[in-house]
Amino acid sequence: MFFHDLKYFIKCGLRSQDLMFWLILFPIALGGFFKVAFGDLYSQITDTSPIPVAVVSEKENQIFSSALESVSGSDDSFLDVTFTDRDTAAGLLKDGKVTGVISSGDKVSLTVAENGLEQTMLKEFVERFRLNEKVISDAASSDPTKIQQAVSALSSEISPVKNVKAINGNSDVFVQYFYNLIAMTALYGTMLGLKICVENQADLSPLGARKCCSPVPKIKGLSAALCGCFILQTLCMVICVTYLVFILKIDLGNRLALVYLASIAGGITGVAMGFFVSSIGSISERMKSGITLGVVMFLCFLSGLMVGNMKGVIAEKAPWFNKINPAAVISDCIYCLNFYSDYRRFITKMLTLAAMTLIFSALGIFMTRRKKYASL
Amino acid sequence: MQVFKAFLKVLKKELPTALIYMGVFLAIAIGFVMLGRDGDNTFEQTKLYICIFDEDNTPQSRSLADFIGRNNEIVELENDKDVIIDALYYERVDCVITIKKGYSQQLADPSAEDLIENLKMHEGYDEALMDMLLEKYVSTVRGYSAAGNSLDQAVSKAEAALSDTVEVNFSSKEKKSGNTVINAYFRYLAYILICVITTTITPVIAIMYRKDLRFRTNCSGIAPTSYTNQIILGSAGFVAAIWLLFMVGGAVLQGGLYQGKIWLAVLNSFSYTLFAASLAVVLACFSLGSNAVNLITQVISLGMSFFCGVFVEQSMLSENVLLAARFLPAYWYVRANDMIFSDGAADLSEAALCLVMQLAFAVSLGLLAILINRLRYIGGLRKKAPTA
Repeated sequence: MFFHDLKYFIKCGLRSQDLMFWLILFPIALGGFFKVAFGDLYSQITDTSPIPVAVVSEKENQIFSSALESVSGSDDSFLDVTFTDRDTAAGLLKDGKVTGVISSGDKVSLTVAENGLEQTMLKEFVERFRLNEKVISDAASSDPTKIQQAVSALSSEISPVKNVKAINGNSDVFVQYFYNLIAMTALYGTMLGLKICVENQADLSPLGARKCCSPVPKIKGLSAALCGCFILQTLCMVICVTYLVFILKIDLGNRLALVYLASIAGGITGVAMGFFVSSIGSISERMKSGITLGVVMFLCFLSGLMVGNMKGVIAEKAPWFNKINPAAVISDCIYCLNFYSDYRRFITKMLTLAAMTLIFSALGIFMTRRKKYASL
Repeated sequence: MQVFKAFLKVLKKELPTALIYMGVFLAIAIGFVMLGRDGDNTFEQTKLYICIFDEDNTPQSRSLADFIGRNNEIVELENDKDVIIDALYYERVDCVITIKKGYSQQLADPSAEDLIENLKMHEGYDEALMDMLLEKYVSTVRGYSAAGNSLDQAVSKAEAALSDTVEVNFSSKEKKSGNTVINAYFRYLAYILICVITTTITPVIAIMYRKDLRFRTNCSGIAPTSYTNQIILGSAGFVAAIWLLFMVGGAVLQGGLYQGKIWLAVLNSFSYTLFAASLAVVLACFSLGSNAVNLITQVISLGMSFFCGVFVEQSMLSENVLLAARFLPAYWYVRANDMIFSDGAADLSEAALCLVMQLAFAVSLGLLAILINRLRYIGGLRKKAPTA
């Protein structure tokens, strides 16, 4: 009987167009949209091409000219300099062709049209030049014999800063949207969980009423339905991850087997969560569906599906919540596989998912069992 | 007006969905307004979010930490690898600076390197700016030190010199019309208008044109033209009300009546609303259930929003994507919106072209709806015709 129920549950699930759309087609569509929107963004934010700047030479300033030469002229330079007159420079700034206008005369000054990172860097450049001038003039006034040492100290190529990259994996911040997309798909498994509840609760569907009358032990029927949901959700998760990795070419790290494992575990947790949430109370199927979807989307929002750095904000304000939010735990699993060479954090997250699945399933079964109806 | 009244009764049942969409949208918009007001026309330096670990813990290292904190936001983090990597990845901090042990001893030595470690996630301008700041500080101290000052003197003189910042001139431009918040508000309307109008109107029209209902009405004394007109009236009234509510919401967020170029944005949103209404009518022709309408609406609205520059600005999208997006009305809506809210005078002929394109989409969909209805009607007649 268990396998009979299991077989028909899977058949019904596969033929349910709504479920298959939300669990397979919607994530595929959303993944495609993410790829279109975020595909080039990371390369744009990490693009350090030379900052376009117009330079107006009001008076010959040999030192400043040589300073400009040292930071411009090649593709990996800091500045892309256009020497021009004041009016043309103003026009270029207005049209957005240059980030700022540097006027060099007795005093070097900077004009910008808006606030921003590139403008701040130009300010730093001008400030550094004026600072060097001041240090040299101070050295000249205090001890002229030390000017040369001061100049060589200021122009030293040796950097006091050692740059270290935090991770070796894919540091594209926009990939987190795909982690969260996987988490969302996993938690859409709640719809399958809801299906179990509706099809086994006599006051929610005629099928539930018929099942309640049948001599099959409820635990057997529920177990078959749960197993069926786990299988269906596993299929959906495999399709989702395969599509992201092999069709959209999203870099989810080089431990793909574990990414699949984490996604499937997340999907199973999603089903169990849906089973538990929809077992609460005897409200209509529509209301239960609304509540479970609302809960899922809220959890995904807090995990960063809509606002990328939301998980960071939660980590700052309520770090405990990221540890119990299923969406955050699922996306964290994939995140750790990308960033950490050891499995310590990954195992912790997987154990958390396993614990959630057990608790949700047990509570769901506990709340669904032994229900009696005086009339239907 | 019995049909009109019946339309309103059915509409009432679908209203909660529309209200939820509108409520969430307006709540988020209010949140954005409260978070970020536009600045005035003065230069504001970009602040980085920095975490500093001072392993040296000397007056010189503390002086460097004070210098970094002067123009940046200092974020306290636990000195734990997981916490640091999370904070960097989720952009709570732009970089993590570690002032190494022995920093003060080697500070004055021009040949000493790697005194400070800059841990970062990317190689962008943010990180380059941090390097510039650190190098500026250290080189100034070394310059004063090389000029014959003791380390303490060099540090204090460097601090004095570094506090004298360059004044940046802000080019005299007219203040951005309507500011960035209202620009974003109008841009996001491209998403929300479709969601609200389609998810509400489509099921209602589909119900009003349900086969059994139509058969019953056809037997009544109401002329089919009157029936259709009353439904059009009801739909138009609802669409106009939704559009007006969003316009009022925008005016409230802005803090007063729209002025100048923003009226063009209002007109632009109206033409887009017409498109959304036409889309709702086309979907209603297929007699879909509310769940199916919801699915299709989400795919269309999200798809157009991602492709056409609603969620990510058009300037950030690739050329190929923008080329494909030209075949979607949201592209023309966003393009007109960006033009209207850009600095300087809006190019009226360009904006008019965008409006015309949106209207063309609306008219095409309207014609498509008529065609589908005609085909279905003819198909229905053929089915009813007796076979020979």
